[in-house]
Amino acid sequence: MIAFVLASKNVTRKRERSILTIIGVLLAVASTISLISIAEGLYTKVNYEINLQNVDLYILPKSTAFLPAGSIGAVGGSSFGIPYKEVENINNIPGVEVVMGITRILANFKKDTGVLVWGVEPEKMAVFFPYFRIVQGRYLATLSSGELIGGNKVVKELSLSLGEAINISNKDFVLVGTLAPVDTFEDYAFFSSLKDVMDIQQTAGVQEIWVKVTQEYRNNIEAVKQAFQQAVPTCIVKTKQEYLGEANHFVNLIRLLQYAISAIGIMIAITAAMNTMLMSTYERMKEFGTLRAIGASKYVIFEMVLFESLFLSLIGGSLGVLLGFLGASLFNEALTSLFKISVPVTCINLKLIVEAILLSVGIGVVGAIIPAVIASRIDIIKTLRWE
Amino acid sequence: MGVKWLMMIKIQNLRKYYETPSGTVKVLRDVNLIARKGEFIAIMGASGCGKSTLLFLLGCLDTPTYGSIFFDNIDVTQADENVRQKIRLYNIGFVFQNFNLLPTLTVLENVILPMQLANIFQHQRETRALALLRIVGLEEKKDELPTHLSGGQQQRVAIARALANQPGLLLADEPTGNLDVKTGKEIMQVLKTINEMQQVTLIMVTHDPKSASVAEKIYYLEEGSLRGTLI
Repeated sequence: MIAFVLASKNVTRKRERSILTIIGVLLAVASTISLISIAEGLYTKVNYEINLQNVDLYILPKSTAFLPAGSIGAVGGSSFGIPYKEVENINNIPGVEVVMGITRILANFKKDTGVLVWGVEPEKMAVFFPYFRIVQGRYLATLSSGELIGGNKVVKELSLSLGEAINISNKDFVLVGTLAPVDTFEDYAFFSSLKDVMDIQQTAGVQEIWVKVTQEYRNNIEAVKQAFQQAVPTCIVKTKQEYLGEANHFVNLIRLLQYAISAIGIMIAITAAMNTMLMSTYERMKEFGTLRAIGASKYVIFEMVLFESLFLSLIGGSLGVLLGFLGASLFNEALTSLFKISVPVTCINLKLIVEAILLSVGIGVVGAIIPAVIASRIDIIKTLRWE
Repeated sequence: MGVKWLMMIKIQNLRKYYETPSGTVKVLRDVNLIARKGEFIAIMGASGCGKSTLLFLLGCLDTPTYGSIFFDNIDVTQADENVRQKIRLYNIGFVFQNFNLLPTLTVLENVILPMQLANIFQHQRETRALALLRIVGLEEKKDELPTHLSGGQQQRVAIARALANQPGLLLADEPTGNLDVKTGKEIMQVLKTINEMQQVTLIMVTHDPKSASVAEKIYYLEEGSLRGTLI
């Protein structure tokens, strides 16, 4: 307790130096939280979106490179595709309730705006996207051609109106409906018939095949998966859990990369904290000597230096979290200027805030250990004679 | 260390040698001294004669090369650092030449500090600290920072701090060394009053004969040994 009191008094002693340390920690925490908020946002949205989709098995080309799922890129993004006839073959496998081919593309809207377009089989949309609701207009007509429905946000951002003619990658479409917001990346995507999207892409294959199996088969999904794998040996079959796992694995790699980048800032912050505490320790040798002489234990001195460093890093960390929110919104702005529509990828949730605070505690502790050991092991007599 | 009420301090054949590149420096050679409860002893000597070294040994801040220091019947030179730290906290009060107050703490907080280290209850701490500040005449300055006080006032605060845990032994290292003559005299009077009022054993090292004259016994440290009392 006494160490806590003494540490709190010392924080304001050399204000300029304390402020510099706070800034160091603040920048490290803010840059880390801003960067990690991208991975966190991807993770949250991807998980939410995939869990909402009513899919039991995903069939992907063997050459699939697993990229993040959702509208910003496809799990199973492959230039090869699966021949559409496989959709019909799969339909004949026992246990299959509904099968749908899916293709997602990044197409051009007007000159410089990239838009995501999902190619789906209109009559099966309601099965796989049970959470979709139309707020304006109607769903895609069965066997429709040249029709689009838009996610809530993309329609608003691009100021589109129902019945408006839209040219996407040199193909003419008409907007026939707008979806209610679903708080996934699908809010920022258009949906059209699979055939139209395959025309734009100029391929005969689909990116993925989504399968919904009957309730009876769903209870033994692993065995069903094996049966599917044998039926389509040229493809990879994934259960929803595996599909999520692949997506999350990729997101975690992004997270790791972002932590690696942040590590530079964290190292600088640790150095700043250590430098401050070392300078402060050497300046106060006589004070530590006096404290030891009047009966303070080594532990009290150690704690005192540690708490002081923790105070500074916690102040820096807390301010860093606030700046992190600003950084994350800047990342979103950067994405907006890239795609010309706003796609809020970043997400700062309670978990990330707690991680950031723990990070600042870590910076404080690591930065203080060497100074605290030096301070607690002083030669009392030497320090009392220190002039 | 349970000794609170020191009846007798006995220094026996105390030696302190330092190894230096040019050989062994014998700072203290066979120092012997007995201080009874409530005695006021001054140890005089030229600069560098080992007065402070002797005081640091008595204050359990250092260990001798040879010999013993008994607090009543306990040889404190044999104690490990944890025990010596507790002896310093509960049994010894230090008054330094440079006052050594903590600049970020107020006068009252400085006096309370040793009691906080000793985990004394909060209401007791403040009551006792204010009583001590009253004794040294600085109660009205309790909320000031040490840097706003004169040297004499700072030394009074340091004396109050030294008495915070009601030690049996008060050690003063050149307590008037940084003060003018008049203030030095006042500080010596404060120390003398406390010594008489509280029956605390007071051992002071000084090179100033006027300060030493207040003590009951004066010893002279010369060539590492104590010469008999001058009074």
